[in-house]
Amino acid sequence: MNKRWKIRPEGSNWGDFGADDQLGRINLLTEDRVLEAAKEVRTGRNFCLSMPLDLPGGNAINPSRLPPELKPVIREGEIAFDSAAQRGAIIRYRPISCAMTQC
Amino acid sequence: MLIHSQYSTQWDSFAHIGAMFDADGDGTAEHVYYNGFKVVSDDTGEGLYGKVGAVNHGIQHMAESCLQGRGVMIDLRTHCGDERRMVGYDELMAIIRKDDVEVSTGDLVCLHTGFADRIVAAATAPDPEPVGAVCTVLDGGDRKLLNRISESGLAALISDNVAVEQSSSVAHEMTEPGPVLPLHEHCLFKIGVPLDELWHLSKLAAWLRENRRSRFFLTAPPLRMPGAVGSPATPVATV
Repeated sequence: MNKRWKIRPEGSNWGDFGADDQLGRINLLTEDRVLEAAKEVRTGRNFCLSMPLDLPGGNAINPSRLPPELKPVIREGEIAFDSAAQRGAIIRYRPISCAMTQC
Repeated sequence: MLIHSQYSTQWDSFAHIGAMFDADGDGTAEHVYYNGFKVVSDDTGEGLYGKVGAVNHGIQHMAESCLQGRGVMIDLRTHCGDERRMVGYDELMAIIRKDDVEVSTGDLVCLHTGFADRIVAAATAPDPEPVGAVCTVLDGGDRKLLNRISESGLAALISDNVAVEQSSSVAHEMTEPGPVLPLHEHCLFKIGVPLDELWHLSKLAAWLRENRRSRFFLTAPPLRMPGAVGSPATPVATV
């Protein structure tokens, strides 16, 4: 007896991958199938299948889904993006780096 | 970075769509998800992080599986163009036969409609216009299509449109309440097939067509974010 359900929906495969399964058909991506899939690599060319993640842009397509926002690191009360503190760090870093390599 | 997990190129976890179903056989339907799970705590009724966060079926499980396998492209755009309409079982099977596409157990099936390509093109146009309701969507109400998804053994269903199937969210009038999504119910609730939306498939689809191929090696884990119902992804196809 399954601990979560007595009746499963018609046409479902509940329980077929185990009572506690949370992967469903992703279980079918076995080591053998990954090995077989790797045979499709013949040229080594890659394709990035993501859109820029700030698209579709705004919320024109779905009013309830909002575009991403970047949240900065705050250092000493200041946004750490091209900040004076950061520029200072770059300038300070160089002489130290030189000194190290000349030692 | 603050990101709505289903804003752009994304995975849906099984926590995205459940159903009112009498799984415990007590005569009253309850809100359950794939394999009979609940996504909130039985004890508190809360999610992993208070009001949100799936206690079961979070997207992290998919990430932990590494999500790698054989991708198979079905190029609807070449046959159907960019007009917004539904594609059902008969038309889909005719395209599969015409292009000599084989879908086997465990395949990660990609449907190229051109929608994401239109979005990217509009974003870079000098006078951008809203993309609106364009490109094909599956007819989720077609029982033969849903049965074919079950019988094919495919592991995930991926598209470059919104929602894979017909939904109100890509129409011009988008203030309608939530649509019935039968393909979502079938895949996410009944048979454990994750759905992926708004992938950018056009360049890969064109290359595959030029090279008379439909298969490729696909690596596409979502983010390992416990409790997330969906996730952005940066999938990589290798040919």
